[in-house]
Amino acid sequence: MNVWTIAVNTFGEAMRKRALNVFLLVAIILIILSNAFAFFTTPQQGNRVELTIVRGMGLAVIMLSGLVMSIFLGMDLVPTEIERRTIYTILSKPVRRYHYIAGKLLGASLTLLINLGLMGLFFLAVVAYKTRALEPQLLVGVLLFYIQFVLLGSVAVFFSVVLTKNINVALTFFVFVVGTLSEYWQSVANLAGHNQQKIVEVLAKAVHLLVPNFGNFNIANPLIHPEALQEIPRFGLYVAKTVGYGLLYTAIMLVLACIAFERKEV
Amino acid sequence: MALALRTKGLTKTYKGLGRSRPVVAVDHLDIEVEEGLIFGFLGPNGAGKTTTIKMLLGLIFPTEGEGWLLDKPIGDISAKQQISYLPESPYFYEHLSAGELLDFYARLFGIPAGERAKRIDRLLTLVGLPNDNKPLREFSKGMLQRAGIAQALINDPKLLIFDEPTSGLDPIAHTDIRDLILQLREQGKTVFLSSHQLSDVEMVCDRVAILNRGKLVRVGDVEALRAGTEIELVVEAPDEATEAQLRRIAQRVVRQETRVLVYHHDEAAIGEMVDVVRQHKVRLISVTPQRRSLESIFLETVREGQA
Repeated sequence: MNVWTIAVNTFGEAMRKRALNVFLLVAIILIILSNAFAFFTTPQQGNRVELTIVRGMGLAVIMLSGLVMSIFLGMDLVPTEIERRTIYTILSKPVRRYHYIAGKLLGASLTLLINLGLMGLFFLAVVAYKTRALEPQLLVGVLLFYIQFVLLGSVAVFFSVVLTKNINVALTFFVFVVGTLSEYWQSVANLAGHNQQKIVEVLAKAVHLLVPNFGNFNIANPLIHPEALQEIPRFGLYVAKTVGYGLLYTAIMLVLACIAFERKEV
Repeated sequence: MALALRTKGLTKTYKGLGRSRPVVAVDHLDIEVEEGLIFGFLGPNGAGKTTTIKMLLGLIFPTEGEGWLLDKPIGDISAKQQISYLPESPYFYEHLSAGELLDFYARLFGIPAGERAKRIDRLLTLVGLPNDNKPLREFSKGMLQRAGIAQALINDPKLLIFDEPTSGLDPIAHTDIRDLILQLREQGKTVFLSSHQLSDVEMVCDRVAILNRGKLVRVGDVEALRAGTEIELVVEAPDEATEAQLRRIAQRVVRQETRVLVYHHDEAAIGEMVDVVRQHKVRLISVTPQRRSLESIFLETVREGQA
């Protein structure tokens, strides 16, 4: 119950953050304007290229917005409450520390859901306007982005408990970049194993295994070129597995954040 | 009588940065607060009052020692159900109205919806705040403090921990909050009051503890502390010989025009001085036990610690 109460309050507060509102507005405007960018194509390039621009730009805007929002929300949740001392009146009530962290993360996840959901709906509408048809798979792409950024937000929340804000932002972004290149680390590990470079192999394998593979969540290419969607065998299963993978990693990060917060002095 | 709050050897040490020495913020603090009392927790800035309170509430952790609130070890969730805290200069979620703020805190205590609404109405009326949609960001400091008091009462607590509840308030708000603390005692609540406002503490507290540089330097009932042991003897126009004799016995002598005021802690010495006055047939105006202000006790205690 306390988790939900804290989550709702966190959501209410976050949705009133002017910076976040402006960011959402700009993102929606850019998604709508992607249609205007499509006019730059030549008649020879045709409707297909226009659609590629609209889909590509929409997904890029949603991804970048989600990235900034999740880091911004995740890094700010706990430190701001400590700075403003609002946390004193919460933790002096019968609230367990892990309920507090879980509530904060849930509140941030609700905020991301509404923000990414709104962007996704505008994106769907813009593409539908262009194609005269609904492409619900686009929302699946937005859902995967959402799960990805909930996970990234949980990484930021964990770092926020143990690090300062600036280091948190840098490190969370670093984790995102490293995790997005997860397949690359596997290749590096394979190559190093082939060349008998044991240390490099172990390090690259560790990075590949420990850092969440953010690349899994990005299905932008098949969404931009729907014919490539067939290249993902059993698409439904892939989505379910990726969502499960994201939620599992989020749960692990949440547990780590709770453990770190249990002994944190506020 | 049952104890609402107890600490045993409670200590908080902060590691120094680099090679600097560790800082002992609270040093083996032993205090006991009986239920139903208003207990003043005094000390100069940096004495360790807020650190102690934060340890009691589980916001920070003791380096050594233990503490109990309502017979439960500090940090125990079931004890927190029956305590409340008003921090110094409380900051709340500014997007909420006073009613929403109270509703939020009431939910954290698991108070059912119907009961929540009743309590919120009652408490907002008690602290003199309107139940409207005005967000807290538009509140004055006094109004915020009133909201803070209301949130501290939402769970009908047995033990209230107030950290500087009247700091920075206008005289009306100040008096209202002081009166409210007195009402709480009438309701049988225990109030642990950390304050710099010595006049308030003197007026409302039953018992006080004075902390200096992290150490407990004095504790006792306010009346007993104020009563002191000094007795004042007022003598009208004594001749030089009488005054000289009185000065030899007295611990302190003050001259006020024709009168001489002599002081001593020892009753036998006072008796001796009365005899001197009688022998010299000088007029004795009064013999009065002196009551000291809490301020003078506080200053004396803190200065002794600094000497």
